[in-house]
Amino acid sequence: MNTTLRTILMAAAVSVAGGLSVTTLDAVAQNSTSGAVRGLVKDKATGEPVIATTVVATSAALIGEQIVLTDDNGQYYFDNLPPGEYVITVYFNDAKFERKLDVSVGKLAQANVTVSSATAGETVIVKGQKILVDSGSSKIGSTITKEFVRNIPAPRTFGGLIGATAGSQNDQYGASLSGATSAENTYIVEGINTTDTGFGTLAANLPSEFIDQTEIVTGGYNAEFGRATGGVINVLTKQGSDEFHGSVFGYFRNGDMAASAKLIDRQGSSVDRETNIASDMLFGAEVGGPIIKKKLWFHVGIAPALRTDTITRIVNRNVDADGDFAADVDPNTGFNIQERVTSYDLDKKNTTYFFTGKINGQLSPDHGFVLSTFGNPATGNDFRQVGGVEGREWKTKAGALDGAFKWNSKFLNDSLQFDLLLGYHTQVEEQNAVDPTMAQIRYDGVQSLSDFANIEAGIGTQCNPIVDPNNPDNVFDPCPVALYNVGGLGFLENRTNNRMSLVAGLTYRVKLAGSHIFKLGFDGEQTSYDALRRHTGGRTFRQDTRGRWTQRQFVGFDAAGDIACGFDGSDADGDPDFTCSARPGGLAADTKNQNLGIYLQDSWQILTNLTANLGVRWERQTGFVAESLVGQQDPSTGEVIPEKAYTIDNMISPRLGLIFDPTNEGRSKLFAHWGRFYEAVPMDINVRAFGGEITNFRRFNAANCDVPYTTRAEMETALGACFSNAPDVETNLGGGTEYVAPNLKGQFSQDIIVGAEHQLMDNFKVGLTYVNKKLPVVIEDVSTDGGNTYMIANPGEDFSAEADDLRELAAANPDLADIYNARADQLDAVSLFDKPVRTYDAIKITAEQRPTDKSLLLASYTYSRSKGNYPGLFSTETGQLDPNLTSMYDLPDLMANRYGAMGLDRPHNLKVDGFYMFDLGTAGMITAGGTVRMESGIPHNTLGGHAWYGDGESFLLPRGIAARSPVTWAADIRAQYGYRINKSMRAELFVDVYNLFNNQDQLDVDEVYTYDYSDPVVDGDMNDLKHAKSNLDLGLQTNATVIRNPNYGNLNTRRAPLSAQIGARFSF
Amino acid sequence: MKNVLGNMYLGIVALAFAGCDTPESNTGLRPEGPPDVLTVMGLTRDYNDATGNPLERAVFCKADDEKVPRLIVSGAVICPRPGFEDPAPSADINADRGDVNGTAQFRIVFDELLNPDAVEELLDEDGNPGCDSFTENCTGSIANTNPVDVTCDGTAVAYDGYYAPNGNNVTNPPGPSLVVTFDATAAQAGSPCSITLKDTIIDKSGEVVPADQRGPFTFNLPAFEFAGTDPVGTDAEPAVVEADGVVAFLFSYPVDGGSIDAGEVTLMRDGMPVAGAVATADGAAIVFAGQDAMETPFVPGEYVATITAGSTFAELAGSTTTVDADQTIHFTVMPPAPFTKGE
Repeated sequence: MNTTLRTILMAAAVSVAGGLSVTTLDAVAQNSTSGAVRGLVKDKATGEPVIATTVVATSAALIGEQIVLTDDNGQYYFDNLPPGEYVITVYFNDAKFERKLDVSVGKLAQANVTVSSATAGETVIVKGQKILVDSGSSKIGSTITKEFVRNIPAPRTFGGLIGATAGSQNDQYGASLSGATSAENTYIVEGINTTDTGFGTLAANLPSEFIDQTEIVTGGYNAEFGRATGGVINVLTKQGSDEFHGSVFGYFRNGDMAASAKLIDRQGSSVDRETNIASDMLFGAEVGGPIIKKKLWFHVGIAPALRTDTITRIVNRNVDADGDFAADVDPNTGFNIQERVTSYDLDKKNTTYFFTGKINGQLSPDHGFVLSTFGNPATGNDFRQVGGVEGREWKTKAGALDGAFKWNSKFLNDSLQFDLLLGYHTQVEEQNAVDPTMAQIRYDGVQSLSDFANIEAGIGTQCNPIVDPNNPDNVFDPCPVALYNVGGLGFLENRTNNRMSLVAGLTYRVKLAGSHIFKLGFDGEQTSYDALRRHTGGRTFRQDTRGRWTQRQFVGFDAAGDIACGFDGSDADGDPDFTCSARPGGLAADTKNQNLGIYLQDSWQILTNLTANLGVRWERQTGFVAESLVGQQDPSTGEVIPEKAYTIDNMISPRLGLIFDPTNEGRSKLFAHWGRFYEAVPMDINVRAFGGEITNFRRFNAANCDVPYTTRAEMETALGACFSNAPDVETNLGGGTEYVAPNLKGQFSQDIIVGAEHQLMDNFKVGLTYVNKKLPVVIEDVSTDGGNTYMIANPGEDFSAEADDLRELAAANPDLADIYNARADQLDAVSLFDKPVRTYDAIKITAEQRPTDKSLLLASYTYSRSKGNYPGLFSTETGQLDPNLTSMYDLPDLMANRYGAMGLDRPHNLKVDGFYMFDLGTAGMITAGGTVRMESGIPHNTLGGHAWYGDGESFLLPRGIAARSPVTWAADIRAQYGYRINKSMRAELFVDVYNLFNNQDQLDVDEVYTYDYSDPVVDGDMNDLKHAKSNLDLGLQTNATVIRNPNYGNLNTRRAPLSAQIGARFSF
Repeated sequence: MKNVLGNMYLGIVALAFAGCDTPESNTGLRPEGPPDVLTVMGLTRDYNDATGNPLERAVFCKADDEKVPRLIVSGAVICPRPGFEDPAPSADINADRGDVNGTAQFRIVFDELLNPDAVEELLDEDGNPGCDSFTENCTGSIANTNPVDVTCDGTAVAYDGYYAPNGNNVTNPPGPSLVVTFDATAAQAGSPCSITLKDTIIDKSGEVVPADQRGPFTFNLPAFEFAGTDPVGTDAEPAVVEADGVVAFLFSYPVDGGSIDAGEVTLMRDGMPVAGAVATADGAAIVFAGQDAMETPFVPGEYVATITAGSTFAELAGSTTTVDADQTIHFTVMPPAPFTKGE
């Protein structure tokens, strides 16, 4: 029996045996690891749909083939298709009609087929455009394919490719999508969530050579996806096939392949550094093929990446050539003229071992599985930059290891589909000091480097201050230095983060006023974050700009301890009732979370060209207190510490999408989407707010603690002696566990998307999209009593009802009445905080050419504005990455002046990526690839210090009031030569040139106007700022104006200079 | 189809350019209209933070104004609001102002930024006006801009202070504010005083403080009174004092040394009067001070310093206080450690 006949008979059998093809049809749903195809089969002669005819999908990417029958509207559907090039074959009147199309991960492709009378046995190739428009959903974003990676000077890992998407931009921790911080993205690889459970960042990065497709979804997705208020990055690694294919590849660059970086002038410090690449290489191999043809495939890959950077540590001295006992100033730059005193090099090394492994199996046409694993373990070292030699080096271990198992079954003649996905993700990050015994001693104020002559090798007497013989008060210090560190590294953390996930879904299609595809799913995960946080030497010492010495050390609850901590309970004597003891070895916190999600969605095809995607997702998140604390009496309240820190179970996310195709051929769509997206709170909050973190803070006034400028050991001994006495000020920061406001709401974003896409010609489409994304509710720690106590709440929301409940509870519980009443007062005051605002409005114009072996174009222009007072899960100004626990809302005064153009507001954003291959026949192939990036500079702020929270925490003037950085742009190119050894073997050599025009544009400036403590000048301008006053401490204002940072407004980050890398690839 | 797409594109562009208003902000000021006085706060000697720094408390809060400072400082809100009634400004609070060093400080908090140049001069390190804080270290002064009148006992009092554009109704301290400082010892202790704003205080658009909000804001200077001893030492638990230490009887104002009667402030050692012991005024204290070790008056022994009941003392501006009961400091001066051979 030939294949064709067998296929037809099988399809007929399906139809007859099922008897359901009229009322229930094949389940259809593209998901995070596959795509789908639908189409309409029409008879050219009659113009009528062709009913119950056989349609077969085949591809090198598909184990076996998929067979369906057209329904009574003449439509057919395929789902669960691995990405790749497909042939859709329609059997009609003993003839075959074939149409080619591409299937992308997460996308629905449309391929209508018009059949006609043909000779029996004839094969008719149906002409028609390969449809690029995803007519099944309102998702927006882009898909990066293998062709992109092979021919464009792209970053080596998929994490670097996210920047090719319209409107994306880099932020401090990754790629920002739709105005959200990168920590709000979810990173799904092989269907499982690999996002860092601790901080929400990318953890399982992999080389692009291992990746089949990377789908970057910036909005508009249905209820199947959740736990992201940013975008979803959906990555599918390569898989095997019935033939052996693979590649060997390598990339290399070194310091000789880069132009000199322009110096960044800084005023005021004699210690500087330069970091240059010594060598940077990635090489590896990947291969895939059949274990059992048409049944079982494999794919494996391994790629070590080795990088060495040379850090040149430099000591400069200011020049006083005119002998006026003041540093000479370069009239061209305005900076002091300096000369080199000494320098030396340090090697910073990092080695990452990337790997993947994957097995695809198809046990029968209806039952298949995928088993995959991947990871990126890494080791390295690093150095503290400003300070002495002793104790400055640390070793790092990092990386993730993931495993995923996916099962897919179809029942009831394919009308019912079951998907199961089990995932395991683990990651480590270790910071281990080479010498962990030394305490850090930091000098914040400007010192003379000569003070550290016993520590600073090589400076001799060149940094000694020079005294004016005619005026002893007139002293020229040639080597001022700030933020100088002596001794150990200070705070370090070792952590292990795990996630076990189980995702299951049932998909069912039914006809009712059109056709519906219902999907009911469960999405559960248990995550953990085990941390050991400590200070080298058990504590840190810091001298502030006023000469005051502070000591910080972790302490823990201890009934026999010698440090008063906790709260003033029943005796109300003004002193803490509990005791703590120092924890020089650090604080260990083993924490976990449980996240549950259930969703129901319906893709309702009302008409052949009108689809409504309806969905709702329910989520619950439970955060747990560190295991070691559970059951103890909370020194902050006297209560017994419960197992659960918080439960947020009121998270309901409706989603609504509408897609209309005016062409009725899949060549265009008008679409709209509205949806709500809840955040999964990263677990940093478990460790920091519910992990027993208490920092004992002691301070001596300058006169009461004298530390000699001698050796590190003598300094540490002297400080130890100081702090063995009663300090001038002592307090404990943090209470071990924080109170959580009752009925805490989940943090969510809300999107409105309206757009249109149209395929102008074969392989080319354009689009126009409007996006409005808001962040109306956030979770943050707040203090409404001046920093005495903190709670986790929704700032700006009304908790008065919860406060009333607490007061009733207080009346019924006299022992805890004080605590309850105090909390009630604090809850009442939560509404005093400014409500969070983050509004992103964007209009995006996109043009995309379907990637082929010969060419590709991905271009976009985005005009956007991002305004608000809350950037997201980290502070774009200070870089503090403590999701939902930043300092931004800690005190009401920290919020003043924060509304304005956000730190990620770049109105204009242009991206062009593309390549073209010139086929020279037997002489080979020349490929020219390139990228262009042009974007507005970021807005800047005028920041001051805050007495409790430190540098840059006070918005002295309204956000974004300072001049914006100029527009920045760069072009990268690839020149590649390829040679076809035979039909399936190819060798390629390429050279990438980054920043071709060596535009070392300004990317950022120093926004700190003053290091003094100063409160915001609300709605003020520069003239008001002239009168701004400094605070000695919280609430202690002086009549002195703030001292301006000489580097305020000066450039502090440039685009990297022109550089190149060479590479080679042999593929078969 | 072209029309549909075309209209769609136009609609998308229109959506994108639709403006959005700046949201209401709790932390914003109120620049519309004339500058309102939200609160007047004074430093108090009986209201300190955990480290002993004096805190400011409200002596006036504008009624029915949602912008009055609500911040909770050291457990109490600055101005009352529903559910936060402690402490409400009252006559009792108004009755005791100024700090123990004799400098009174009052902060007048506005609901918007003032024209800074109209109310404050910036002085350089030598006290000269015209300081540019962008390049120099400056201090603010209102001594010459004279934005207020300060009177005590009906007499004008010289003052200084500064203007702080910093802050809002939730910062600590609140702002923007005009801070008025004056020497509380210039007038007699307990005197009724007042601060009245002038019409030279204008906001950035030139509007003046409404006449009905300019005061006078009234308060009393602290009474002159005995305030305790340092150290505290009783017969049962005498304090230990170094041979070169100081024992002090504390008052609320600097004491006029001429008002000290040697017969009323005495020092006894081991039950006998200490020859040569002289009580002197040292700021807001009357002290006995030891000198070099082994010399008078603090040689090793058991001491009692006493102010006799009924003693009357004067502060520099002339008002007096009478100590009602005997005030004593029992203290011990230990002999020096013996010399060790070889030292």
